[in-house]
Amino acid sequence: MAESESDNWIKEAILAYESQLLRYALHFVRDPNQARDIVQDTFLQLCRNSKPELQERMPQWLYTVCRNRAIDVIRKESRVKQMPEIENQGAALEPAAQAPLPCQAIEASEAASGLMEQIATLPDRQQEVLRLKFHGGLSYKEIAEIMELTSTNVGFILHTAISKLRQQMVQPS
Amino acid sequence: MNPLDPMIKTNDPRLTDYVLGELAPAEAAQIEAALKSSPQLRAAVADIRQATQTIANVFETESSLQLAPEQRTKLLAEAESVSEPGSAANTDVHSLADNVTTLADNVTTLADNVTPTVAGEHYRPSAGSTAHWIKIAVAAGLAGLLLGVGAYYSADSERPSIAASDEPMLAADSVDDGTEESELQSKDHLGFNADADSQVEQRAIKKLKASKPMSKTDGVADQAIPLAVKDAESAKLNGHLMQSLSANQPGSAPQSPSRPPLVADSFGDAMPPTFREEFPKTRSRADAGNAIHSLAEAPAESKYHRRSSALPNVEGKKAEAKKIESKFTSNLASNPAMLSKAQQSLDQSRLRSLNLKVVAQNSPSQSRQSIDQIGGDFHDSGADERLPIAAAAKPLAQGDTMKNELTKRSPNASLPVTFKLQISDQNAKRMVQLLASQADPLQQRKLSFEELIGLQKSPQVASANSAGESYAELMDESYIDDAGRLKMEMDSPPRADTLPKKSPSAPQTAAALLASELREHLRRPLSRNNSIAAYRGLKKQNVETQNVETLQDLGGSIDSDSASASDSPMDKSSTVSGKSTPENQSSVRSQDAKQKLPAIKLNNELSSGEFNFEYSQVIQQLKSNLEIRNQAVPLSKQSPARLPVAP
Repeated sequence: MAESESDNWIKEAILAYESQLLRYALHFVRDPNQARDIVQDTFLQLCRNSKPELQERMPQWLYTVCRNRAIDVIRKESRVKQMPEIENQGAALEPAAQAPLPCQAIEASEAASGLMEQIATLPDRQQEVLRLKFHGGLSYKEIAEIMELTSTNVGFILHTAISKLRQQMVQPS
Repeated sequence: MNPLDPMIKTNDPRLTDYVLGELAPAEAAQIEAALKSSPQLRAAVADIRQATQTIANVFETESSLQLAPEQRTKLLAEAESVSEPGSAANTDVHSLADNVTTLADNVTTLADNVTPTVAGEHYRPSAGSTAHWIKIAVAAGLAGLLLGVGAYYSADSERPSIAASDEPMLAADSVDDGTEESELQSKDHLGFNADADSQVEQRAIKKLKASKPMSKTDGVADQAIPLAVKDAESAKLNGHLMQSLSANQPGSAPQSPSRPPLVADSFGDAMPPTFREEFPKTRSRADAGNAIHSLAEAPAESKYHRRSSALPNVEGKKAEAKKIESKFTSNLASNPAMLSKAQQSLDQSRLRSLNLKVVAQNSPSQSRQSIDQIGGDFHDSGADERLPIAAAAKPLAQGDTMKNELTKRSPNASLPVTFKLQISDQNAKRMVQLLASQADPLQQRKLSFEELIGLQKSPQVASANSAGESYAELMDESYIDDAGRLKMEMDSPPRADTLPKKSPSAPQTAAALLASELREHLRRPLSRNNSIAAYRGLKKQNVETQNVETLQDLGGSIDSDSASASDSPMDKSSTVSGKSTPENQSSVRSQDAKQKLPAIKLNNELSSGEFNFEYSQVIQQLKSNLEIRNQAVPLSKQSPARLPVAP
């Protein structure tokens, strides 16, 4: 029984954080295959840990490991960050099973593509905080732990990013 | 602007925190109070809320990404393997911790026996984590002690040769290997009755620790003090250990608290009988203390003596060892070949140590210092007088060290010690370039040029050369290495009859030495590379020549045809073909005095690499750049025409 639980909690973690971590890793390496490798390494490290140690801080642990691994990859390869097309990234990756309706997808993609482009113009740190907050659903404290910042700093970065996006969203209209 | 709280503005980051629910309750209440009274803040909050919602929607509408199928499969397999007992993933820290815990549980049973009581009750670790780790630590420590005792037991039982050979001296000598069992054994040899409160021991230990430090070179004496201290301390520790162990041995005889048992007592019959007979443990504490005193005061000639003075029944062994030693000496004396071989081996060992010392310290300044301190002159005493170290040809060390070593090696030799600086043609050329290009290298080396080239002119070199000895053998050692450092070769100490006698006609001044050396040196055949290097050195000194480019562009050959074909205005009459002679050099100088052109002539036969250039040009350059120390006559006061001409 305990074995099956141990087996399940890792599977559950993989299912729950796979996509988020892939997007998060993609933010660093800009290469879907490298992002997959990073997330794979992250989960492999998860397998080497016990559930009681990570039970209460699973998200920040996963994001922290993923972030460190991504930074290692960047340092190792001394990659120069390039900004590929967001759509291309999505096309290169396998879509999820549950896709939205076509009309919703069109509207959402139009709005999202514009806003995502604006997000892509933000500094890396602001992008990362936005992703951790809105995509990862993490709190300031968890984000601060992952990025090795203070909660106040996280709030300020997030506020600055949202303010910039608000201005950019207002200007076209 | 909030009229109630002027600190809250529409762009306050706390509004974003409030929208995102990251504010503390008190701050959130403050914001809500401000919102009630400020429509601008409400609008700002609504705007932020809408923006955050939009952003969140954007991230939510991102296409979900997945790992590659093979990656997912691997991960799931890894996750399954984690749950399986005995898998590779279980060999992590947790499994190791489990193993340690199991070991701790096993040893704790013994620990409960060994650790009798705590406040009158058996020690029972609680279920708390602190007690758990305490249990592990105590168990591990006890396990280590037991393993050490077991190792001693097994090692002792596997050592029949020492015990059965009735050779206590050998057994005592084995103490020096520094192992734990040897220390325990040495303690037992002394019949040391360990007692923590023994004032005799404490006094002995203090005396040992307070004794003057031994020479580092005396390795035996160096080991004597710490070894004896370790003996006493280890005996003390062992006494306590065995006392605590034996206190819980079922059926063990009650021990007197003033006499904790020794290791040999605990193992009883396991101790070889000869061992026990040879080293009875019936000594009193005073005897043990005296033994330690004897250790400390024993002469340090050898560990044999050191041990023999402190151990019982050693006088006979000492006599036996001396007998063996005398027999070996007599055999050695009767066998000349063996004697010479032994002497050679001894010399080699000394030579190695000398070389090590020589190599360890080397710098141009130190070399110069060595020469200054020894007061040596630069001579070559000939190959016959070479010490073996000459073959090694190591750079000099500091003067005092070298002086001592040489004196030690050749006590009859009279100082100053002779050194020989060897110079190759290439390095001589490089030296000329360096001197001509800048004076700094000269100053850094603190060696005057006349001193350097004076060596080149040593009559011994010339005689050796004329005697058929390979000139290259004597001169191929560079004394300017690749790093630009000066290298020298030590030669044998001079004898009075081998010291060179200065000829009254020999050049005495730096300028004269320079001129004669240059003349002599430049007459020697040079390789093509050296010729090019020398010429480039001249070019650095702005010696305007027309065939410089031709020389620099040399990939292959240079000949007089190519030089003349390069539209060189150089007057052929100012060149010297072949080896220079006083006559044609004079001609060159006269031509140079008129034309102010360097005289460089490459021989037609480049295979021989022979060429000459006018030394007066070099001297001209040196005059303007060089600072030669200890020169009798400044170079600037001499004209090239007054320079002596080499024979």
